[in-house]
Amino acid sequence: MTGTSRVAGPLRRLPPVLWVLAVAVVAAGLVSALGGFAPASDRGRSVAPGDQILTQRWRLHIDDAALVDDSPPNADPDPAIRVRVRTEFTGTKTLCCLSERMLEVRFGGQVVTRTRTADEDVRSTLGYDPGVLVARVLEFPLESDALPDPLPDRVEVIVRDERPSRSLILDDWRVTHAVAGVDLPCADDRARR
Amino acid sequence: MTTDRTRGLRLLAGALGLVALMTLVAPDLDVPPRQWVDLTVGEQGTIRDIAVTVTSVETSASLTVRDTELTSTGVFVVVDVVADALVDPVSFQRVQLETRDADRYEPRSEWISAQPPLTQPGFTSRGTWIFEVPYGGARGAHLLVESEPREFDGYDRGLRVDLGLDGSPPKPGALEPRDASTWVTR
Repeated sequence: MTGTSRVAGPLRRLPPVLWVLAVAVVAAGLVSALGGFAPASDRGRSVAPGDQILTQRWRLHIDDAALVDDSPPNADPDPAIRVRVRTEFTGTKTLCCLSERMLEVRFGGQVVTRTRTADEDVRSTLGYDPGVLVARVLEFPLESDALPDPLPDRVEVIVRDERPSRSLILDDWRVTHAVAGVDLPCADDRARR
Repeated sequence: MTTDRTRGLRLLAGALGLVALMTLVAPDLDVPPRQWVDLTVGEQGTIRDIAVTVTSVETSASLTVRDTELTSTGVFVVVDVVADALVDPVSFQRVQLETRDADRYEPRSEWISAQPPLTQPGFTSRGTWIFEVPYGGARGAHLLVESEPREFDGYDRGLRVDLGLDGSPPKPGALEPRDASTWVTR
């Protein structure tokens, strides 16, 4: 108790302006440490293609991407970005599906979060088993009349995290902030079909 | 008047607190409580709607699907079963593989034509459930078969079959699962 009084005594005599300055310096340090006043990134940290991205309940690798079109000859165009990924679910029970909006493709001004089964993939898009790393082919359909000209030669895949959302009726997971962005070369593979 | 309002607000706060507490401590109803009937491969077990026998179990690193060989980074567990529908139609919606770590796996839908189909009472189906687990995850695994879901699901019995897997390396070469079949129960 006596020791505390000895330290507090001289501090108490400091002019109030110094206290205000000290608090401001500490606050500025905290803000700086937390990322400053710049707007929060909407793409997460940059990750190289093929590197592991860790989220609350997934280990993901975004391997490559291409612009494809599986539509039959003489049919309306049906372009899509085909993304090869490797997924490993880290939960404890087989999960039906990837959360909508967890993966996002940005290509020439179009932002796509809806996925569909790729014809070439023998893997079902249903069923993500705990601890099993599986290579999958996902397709993100594009608006065919909104394809940019010239076509970009790169595509960005954003991975978002999830957090548990518990309610009286249903326990679920909610998609949250972007944790990683993968910038990939995107070949135009439509002519090869 | 003020006292009545205060009492009412306290009751409301108490009720909300109770609801919050129940939400926090209530068990996960995704997994209804079960009393398990333990079986081994070759033994028949009966629950409300079905009598099920696991006839054989194999593990493999690869299987064929749509004429393509699919290789797992883990192991495929291939479980052949024969099941009699006893009272009501059975669609086998509650079938899982449980590992020693209590992780639960559902049958892979790539081989849906091999799975026992919707079976009417008086008929028997033969089929195969295929599970994919991490390497080493098959050892000591059990097959869990539960009754068909109903409007009110609660305490019930389920079948728990010890698949007799000891962690031996999976069978070399790709297995080709057969399509399921159904016949009148003999």
